[in-house]
This record gives sequence, structure tokens and C-alpha cells, in this order.
Amino acid sequence: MLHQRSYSQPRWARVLDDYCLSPLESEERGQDLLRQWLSPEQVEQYDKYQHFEVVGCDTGTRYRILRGKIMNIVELAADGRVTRRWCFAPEGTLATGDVMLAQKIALETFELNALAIANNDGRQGAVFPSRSFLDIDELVWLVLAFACFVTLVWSFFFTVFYGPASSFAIRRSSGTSAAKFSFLRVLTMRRTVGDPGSGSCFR
Amino acid sequence: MAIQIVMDQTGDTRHQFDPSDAADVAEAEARFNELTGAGFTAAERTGRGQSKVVAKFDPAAEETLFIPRLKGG
Repeated sequence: MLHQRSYSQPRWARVLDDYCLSPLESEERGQDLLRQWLSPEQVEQYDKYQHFEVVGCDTGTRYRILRGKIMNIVELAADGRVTRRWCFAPEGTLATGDVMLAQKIALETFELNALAIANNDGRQGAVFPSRSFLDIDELVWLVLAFACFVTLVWSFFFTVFYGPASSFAIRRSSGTSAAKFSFLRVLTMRRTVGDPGSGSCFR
Repeated sequence: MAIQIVMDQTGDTRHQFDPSDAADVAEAEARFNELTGAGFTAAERTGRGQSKVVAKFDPAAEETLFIPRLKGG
């Protein structure tokens, strides 16, 4: 949503308006502005990975602009590896989206001038990974899958050892040792119970 | 209507003006000169995801963005 400021209001009202805008609202407006100025491909990248790539106008170097304000520009080699990180930003307290947009425009329109004032962490060479082992969405899926697996395994053992069949076995084996809780015992009990006319399970 | 967008602590401030209105254009040009004189970089949007930096006021520009002076982080 665009913020249309009316300059017919008195100055004190404008100042109040400025300082009453919450940081959250300015962040939201910054993100809106950024998306308006990104290309469709960059918007897609940004939605998916929280970063987007730009090509420097002077050197043709690819840069990845990560969501953030500090050391959030990553220079990429031809093979996609990170070669160094750059840091420059507009003066003042700006929203994250504004900072990222300024970085994009700077790299795409006056790359060398922008890099001349930027700080960097030095060339990292091939040892510096171009990206984490997994993207954040892949990591989330991996964690969810692991959680499902653990839940299934836990449910299986809970059913086997503490389910109705197991409770039956425990009741029938009153006062006996903990060995009767073993998996093999339960299986034996199940076979025995399924056999009509059989006696006690643990004889 | 053309628009000038100034990045600031509120996200941005937008100033619309009518390119066919001489008074509006004069006001927009004065704003352009004031901001660029204060160190802001003016960038015009030329297409989806494309922009160019401009040093002179262009009344035909539909959308101009003013970026505060850059500094090393």
C-alpha cells in the first residue's frame, strides 16, 4: 500500500506522522517499494530464497543481495561460489527493503563507484562455500520429515510396549520381572492369544 | 501523473506531480535539485527491474527514486 503524504497538513502533524509510523510499517513499505522495482525473475528469487541476484553494469559480475542491511552483498564467481562479501548502504536509518533496493540500483547502474566506497571481507577463494548445504526451505522440509519419522517410530514402539496387547500381557504377568516387557514376549503373547484354547501366555 | 519517491525512515515519501502543469513541474524540479544537491542519487525506472541514474531533472520521467548518499558498511 502506498503512503500518500499530504503536504496541506501543518508541519507539526507531518513530524508526528513521521515518528508515529511504526518500524514494522516502514519495513512493510520498504518491502513493497523493493518489489515494485525488482524484475519478475528477481521477485521470484526473493520470494523463494529471501535473496535475489543482480549483474554489475561495469564488470558483468553476478552479485547476490541477501535480505538484510549489513554485509549482505555476496559476489559470486562463474561457478556460483562466493568470492567475497560487500557492504555498502544509504546513509540514515532506512527500511531493509530500501537498503536492498539502493544496493541493487547501485550495482546495476554504477557498480564500480559503489564498490569504491564499499567495504569487503577480502577474497575468499574456493574454500568459501557459495551457499549453505541446504536452502532454508529444504532444511525445513528435512526437519519436518525427520520429525514425522521420529513420531512414527515412537508410535510404533508405544503401541507395541504400552498398547492394549501389551497392557494385557502386563496384567497377566503380575509380579514378574521386567524381562516380560520385552518385544519377543509381546510377540509370543500375540501368537498365543490368537490361538483359541491356549492357556496362559507366559508359561 | 508522475511521481518522485524519496527513501526515508518511514519507508518512503511520495510526491506526485502533473507533467502538464507548469507549476507542478517547477516544484518537482526544485525538489529534484534540492535532493540531488544534498547528495541523493536520482534513479528513473525504465522498465520492469531496470533503472538508470539521472543527473538532470526529466519532467517526462514517470517514476524517479531518490536514494540517500551511499556509504561503506
